[in-house]
Amino acid sequence: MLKKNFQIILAVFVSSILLHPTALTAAQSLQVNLKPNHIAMGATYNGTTISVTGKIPADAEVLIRLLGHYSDTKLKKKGRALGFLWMNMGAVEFKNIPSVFLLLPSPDLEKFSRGDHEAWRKIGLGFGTLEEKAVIVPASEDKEKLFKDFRKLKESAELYGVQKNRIRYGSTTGSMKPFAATMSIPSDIPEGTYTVQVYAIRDASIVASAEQSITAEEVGFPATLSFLAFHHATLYGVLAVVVAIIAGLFTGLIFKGAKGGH
Amino acid sequence: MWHLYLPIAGNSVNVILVFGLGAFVGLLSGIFGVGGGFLMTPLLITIGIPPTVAAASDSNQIVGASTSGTLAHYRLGNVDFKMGILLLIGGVIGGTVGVQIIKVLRHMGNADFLIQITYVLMLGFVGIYMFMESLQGLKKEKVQEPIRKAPKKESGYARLLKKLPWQTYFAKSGVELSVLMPLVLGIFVGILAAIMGVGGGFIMVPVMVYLLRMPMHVVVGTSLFQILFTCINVTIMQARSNHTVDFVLALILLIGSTLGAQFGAKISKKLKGDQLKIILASLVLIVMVKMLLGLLLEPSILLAYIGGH
Repeated sequence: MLKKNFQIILAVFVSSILLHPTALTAAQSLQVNLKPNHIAMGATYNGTTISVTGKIPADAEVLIRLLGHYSDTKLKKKGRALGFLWMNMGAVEFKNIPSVFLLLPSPDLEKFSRGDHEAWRKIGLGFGTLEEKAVIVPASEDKEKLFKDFRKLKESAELYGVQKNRIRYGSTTGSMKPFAATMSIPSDIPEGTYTVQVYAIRDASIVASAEQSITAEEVGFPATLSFLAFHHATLYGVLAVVVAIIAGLFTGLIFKGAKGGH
Repeated sequence: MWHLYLPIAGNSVNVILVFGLGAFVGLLSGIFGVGGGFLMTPLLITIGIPPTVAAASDSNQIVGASTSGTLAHYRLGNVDFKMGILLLIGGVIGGTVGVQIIKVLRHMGNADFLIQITYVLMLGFVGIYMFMESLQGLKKEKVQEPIRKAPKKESGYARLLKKLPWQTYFAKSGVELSVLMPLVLGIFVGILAAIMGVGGGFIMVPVMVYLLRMPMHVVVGTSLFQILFTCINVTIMQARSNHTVDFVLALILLIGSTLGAQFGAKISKKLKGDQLKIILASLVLIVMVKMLLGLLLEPSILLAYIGGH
């Protein structure tokens, strides 16, 4: 048991080091701006966009990643019960996997990624690498299928995915060229701190990189409601019931009034 | 535009779509005296609401819809308060027991299996029985409409009912029964409702019609009255122990459903008992077939999130 736990911890540790961009190369840093640098989830929040701008070496291509918090994610797994019923049969856990994983490659990088999987793997920033490093407990022979399903599940909420044609380059001045990207933030994004990573890539190698944090936070009415729901749960439940009854009575009275008028 | 962020569900929804869902299910609620949980919860899951949040927020909206529906039926003289209160006491006891059963099963990992099987079996049993029975009723009505039915020979069930202690007369329903009957049946429905995460109206309606022998129109009003209190209890319990009640979602749904319920009560008055039963039975069977297909066909994604937000 102890040995198994140690193996899991070791695997998680190694994968987090391998997945961390600074481990890939000692690249020079870039100047990057995010606008806005805070995601406010108010009553009318329905996802938003973040503008990412900066400069990279003129002969490089840009890749932007948005990464969520790394944690262990437990999911229900469907299987056949009694040989013919598809039901939830136990659970699987994805160890140390990001809650959000969005990629914005430049158009040239996108083409390249489709044609040369090996070089893309060498860069080590895409889904292939994420899958390679993923640790699934209990270990299973259908890891590929499980990861594919995990990715599909995340993609359905737009929390994982590749956002295409989002990067535009400006005209080169000197040895640098400016870029501007529009990153879509899905409405399902949980509250928390996210990392925006920008990479300059040349010949399948990272030549420069930058990293900035961005926070997503409920504000206004949703924040008040969440606070009540999680910190004053009974009061919240009673209020929800009282408002529902008043709304029901109110509609009832309106209809009575309308009836009386006829 | 027209989107609202739901803090407990953790995503945003189109207000018009949710309002429309509420109005549609509220209409059915007013017509048939069911809370509509068996329809609303799957519909909410389809539009991306986490399952536990969908079920709990639906209970919250049913509180509003059934308040409006009960009021409308009360004005039409369709609520048997005496029967309703007895069913309610049973329902609250049953609901509390059911919530504990689910907790234990969740720890054992069998909860989903039991919920899904209970759903399909109950929907199938109730749907088929009601459908066949009301079909026969409609046929008879056509053939021998002017002739009054000859009194049937008393069944074993009717004799058993008469032997039970504490017989009392329920004036509104026009039946004489032991107070134990609504109490015990209330507990039974309460347990099932808590396990399935619904108000239990679609089980309660047939129970009242076939086991308590109440007239269909009184059944509808009394069922709504009983559902109102069951859902108050479920909403507060879900808010307290699971934090899964999304009030914003519930509020949009209930504005739609309270309006729908008012129209539903008026339509209900125009339909005959057997017509009401056969439409409700068809709805129950459609939902049952959909759930059954979900169990029989291989899903495109084998993984699913555990619980809600």
